[in-house]
Amino acid sequence: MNPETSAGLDLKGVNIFYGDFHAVHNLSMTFQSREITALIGPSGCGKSTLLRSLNRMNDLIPSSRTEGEVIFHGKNIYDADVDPVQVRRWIGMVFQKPNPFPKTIFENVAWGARINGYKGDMEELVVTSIQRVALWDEVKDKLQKPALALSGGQQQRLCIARTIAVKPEIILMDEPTSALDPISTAKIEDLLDELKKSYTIIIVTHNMQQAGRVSDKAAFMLTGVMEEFGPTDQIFFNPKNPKTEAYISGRFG
Amino acid sequence: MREHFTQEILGINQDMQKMSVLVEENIRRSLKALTSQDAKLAKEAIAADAKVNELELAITDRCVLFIAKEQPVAGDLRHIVACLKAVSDIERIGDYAVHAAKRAKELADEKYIKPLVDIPKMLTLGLEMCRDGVGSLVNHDRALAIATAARDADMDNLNKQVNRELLALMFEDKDNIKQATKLQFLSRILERMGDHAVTICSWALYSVDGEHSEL
Repeated sequence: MNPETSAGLDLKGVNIFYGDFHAVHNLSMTFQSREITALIGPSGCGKSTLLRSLNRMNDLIPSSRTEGEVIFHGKNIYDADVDPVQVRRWIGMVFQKPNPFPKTIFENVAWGARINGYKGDMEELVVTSIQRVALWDEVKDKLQKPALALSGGQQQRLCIARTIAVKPEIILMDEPTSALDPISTAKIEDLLDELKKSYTIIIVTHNMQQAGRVSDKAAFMLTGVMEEFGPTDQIFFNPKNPKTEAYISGRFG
Repeated sequence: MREHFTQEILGINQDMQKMSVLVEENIRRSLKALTSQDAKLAKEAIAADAKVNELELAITDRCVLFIAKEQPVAGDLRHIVACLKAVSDIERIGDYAVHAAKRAKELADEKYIKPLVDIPKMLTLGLEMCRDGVGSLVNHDRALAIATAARDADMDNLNKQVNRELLALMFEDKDNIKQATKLQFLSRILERMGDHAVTICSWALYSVDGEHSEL
């Protein structure tokens, strides 16, 4: 894999199982580089399962099995010679609930780079990462204070800073604002717009308005099947699949 | 699911139809006022337009509030936007009914220079096109929208016919000019009724297809 070239993801015939349960069915699609793709669908439709398969987080679930290919820079991330830990450096993840470590703000951002043996200027990396998530003005005077003392919205932006500090190419986000108030949510959404200039972003969200606002493309999943995938404008204005229309207009799900 | 959402769309559709019915009633009043030269009825038609205007504003507010509170998407959003746009066209058709009533009031004491045949036909056609245009919008009826819009050709032909006849009458006798000019102007205004009904039909198609169509 050569992270210097394009940074999209190509899925070819992906099937995901939890034991006997077939959670994601024969899914083929392309996540374009430097675009935001929203995965939408009712609870249990397989979107978070799919998201976690994109950086091999599902490997951590013993009963989980993934078939098919997830191609990143021309290489299947599930090939036997690919290190899943390295995959997670290239393809980072931000979770639903902000999960800063019980350490200082500085150490939270430095942590990933440090365990990866980062040899550059750590202070510069931390400052740049915090600036990129528009948190700098709020924390510049308290970098040595506990991260857990920050508000929920600030913690989530700190977690995003922690993710980008290890210089991923793709950021996966699993309902990143569902635990946040509208102001914090707006800040994260503004941040997404900025981040997509540098990163490919795949976001799972239950908030249809958010999916409409932030994403370039949207994929609607139902019972493990990709029902519709296309430009967000089309999905929200004139979806081709009546199931998509019923879901996004809140008539089921 | 989303019972209130569904009920609110139904309510907006009912308001649209109610507005259409008010306009249709007023076209009928104007028509009768013209043909029976009834100035009193003409005045009633002029006054009745206030209700149409009120309802236009009420529907606009209801649609805006619905968008703000319910955040419709896809077909629902297109339908509400189509209603927001079409409501202005219904209101304009109502204004043309008032215009006809005003002419009826002016001409109530004059002997017509010719029996009114095509102008009443135009009013009836405008009434039907307005009713069916709104019907096609609220019922998502593509075929009705296309068929209704096609009737505008009849409206245009009637307008041409009226103009030809009035022009001949003006050449025949210069004393006819004053009334003929008024009737010509009325005919042109009624022709615009058809154009606004066509616009309503095009919004009906937009609601169904998600595309702007030339009708």
